[in-house]
Amino acid sequence: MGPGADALAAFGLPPQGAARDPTAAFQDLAELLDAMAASLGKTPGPTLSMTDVCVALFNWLELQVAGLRTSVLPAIDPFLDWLDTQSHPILGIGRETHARWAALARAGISHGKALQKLQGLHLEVMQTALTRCREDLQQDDDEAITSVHALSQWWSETVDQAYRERALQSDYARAFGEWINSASALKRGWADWQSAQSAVMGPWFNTNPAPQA
Amino acid sequence: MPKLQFTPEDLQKELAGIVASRARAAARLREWDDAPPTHAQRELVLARGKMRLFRYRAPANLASPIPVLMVYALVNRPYMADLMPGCSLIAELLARGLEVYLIDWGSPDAIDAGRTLADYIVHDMDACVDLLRAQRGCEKVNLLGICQGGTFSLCYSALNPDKVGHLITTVTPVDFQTPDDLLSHLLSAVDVDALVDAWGNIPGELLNAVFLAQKPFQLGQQKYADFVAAIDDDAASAMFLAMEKWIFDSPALVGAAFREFARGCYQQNALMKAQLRVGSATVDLACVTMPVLNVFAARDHLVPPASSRALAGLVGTRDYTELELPGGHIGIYVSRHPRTLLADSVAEWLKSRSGGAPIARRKARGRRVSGKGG
Repeated sequence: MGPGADALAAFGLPPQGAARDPTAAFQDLAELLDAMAASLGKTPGPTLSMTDVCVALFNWLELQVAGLRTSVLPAIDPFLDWLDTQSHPILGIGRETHARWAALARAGISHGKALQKLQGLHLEVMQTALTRCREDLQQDDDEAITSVHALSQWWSETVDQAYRERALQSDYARAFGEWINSASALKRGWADWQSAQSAVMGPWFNTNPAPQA
Repeated sequence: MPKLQFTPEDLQKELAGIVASRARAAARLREWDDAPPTHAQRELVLARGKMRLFRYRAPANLASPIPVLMVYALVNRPYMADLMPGCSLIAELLARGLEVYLIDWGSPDAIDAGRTLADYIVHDMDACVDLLRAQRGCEKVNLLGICQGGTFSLCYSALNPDKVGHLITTVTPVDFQTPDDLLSHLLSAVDVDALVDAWGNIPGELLNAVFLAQKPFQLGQQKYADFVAAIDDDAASAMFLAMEKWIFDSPALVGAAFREFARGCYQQNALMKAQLRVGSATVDLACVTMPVLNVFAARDHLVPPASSRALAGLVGTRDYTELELPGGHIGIYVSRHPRTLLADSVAEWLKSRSGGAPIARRKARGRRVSGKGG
């Protein structure tokens, strides 16, 4: 038996090499659905409507996305601002290299903020798509969804459509541009710092030379 | 009727089936030979830097005495046109009596980062065209451009109308700022100079990420669920894997050429305004005076049909034909029905001009074929 058997067991995984029933993961599904029915005030068993289940699921996901948008993402701002204050110039032989490191750190913070802004827009897209799906599910429709696979296709098309509508707006293009541009600055800053650092550490350190403009 | 028409029992049964299909998909991946394919027989006729010009086995009975030079994009690799047995536009063109040559731009490295559009269009393409003219003893060659290769072919034809007999553009962007062009919209606020200065050549992985961003859930997630669902269909899964290999087998894009193309075409829409600079020349599409067949895909999410159709009002020729094919940007080359329509249309269009009358303004087999004169 491999040394990791206990660790695997701790995560509910079978030991390496052990035979595994591929359907075992779904043995508890009926119990899960029953619990879901109870939480919805429905009768467990075959009478449980998948519409109720999916509406509850989309509701729950909407809450999570809304929480991420309104609480988690904005909470990153003070941390990034604090990071921005945590560097001051030094003296000595490493002064210029350190200045490049500080520039690299600032580029990283700018990229983090750009990514944060873009993720906020993506969460908005997710929220729009979840709302649309939840509302559509509660209405009668001639186009029936008869499988999980079809449900997944419908979700993908809905969220991509919501994304496309949002991405075609000018503020999304600006946010996307900021993300790419800040990534370019970060890449350049990394190359500059690494190039300077390799003068001290040896050329082997310079694994990512700056391209010649 | 409620939209969802399945029960918890259906759900449980389907999920168990998906797990079993995933196991079969994993086994399929383990036995997958993902070597880049070459199926139609070909020979190398010119090597120039990274560029290679290939000649495909000429058919016994040529339908047109003028060879077709296929010009591919700098993005991705040209084996998409010869993807696998039974899925090869090149093989279908050969079968219709056309002699096909193909430009493969190769994989650029740091030494190529300074290559410009002029290096590709004015020098490399011209070397290929001149070689064919000399070898085949013909005054002109026919060009067939694919996507960005179509834009290159348009530029070359405008600059060298005396060397191009017929021009076929396929899924070719012309108006880079149509309202539905998400790719162009996303590029609008990108500092192209900073991007090229940071990366040198633009990595294929970065380009692929931007392409996936056109339909992130369908291209990044759902298509893999579809692959697993269809894993017992050998032909479909073989096709999926061949496409998957091709999609992500992406060479870097040369920095200087990308800078010119992204700024000139996408951000300034200079091709539309007769202001695109290629070396010391300015491209004016009014100088495209040879017959033009402009093919576009009805559901193209990368080059919207309106972008390609803008060509109609710009070219100088009166023999201009448009053809809309069902399918997406790549689907028209790899899906059987549109690929056959494409090969038929190209062969018929060229044959009719090798001695017969133009077929512009004709409607055939439900395709939309329109022209602006003959």
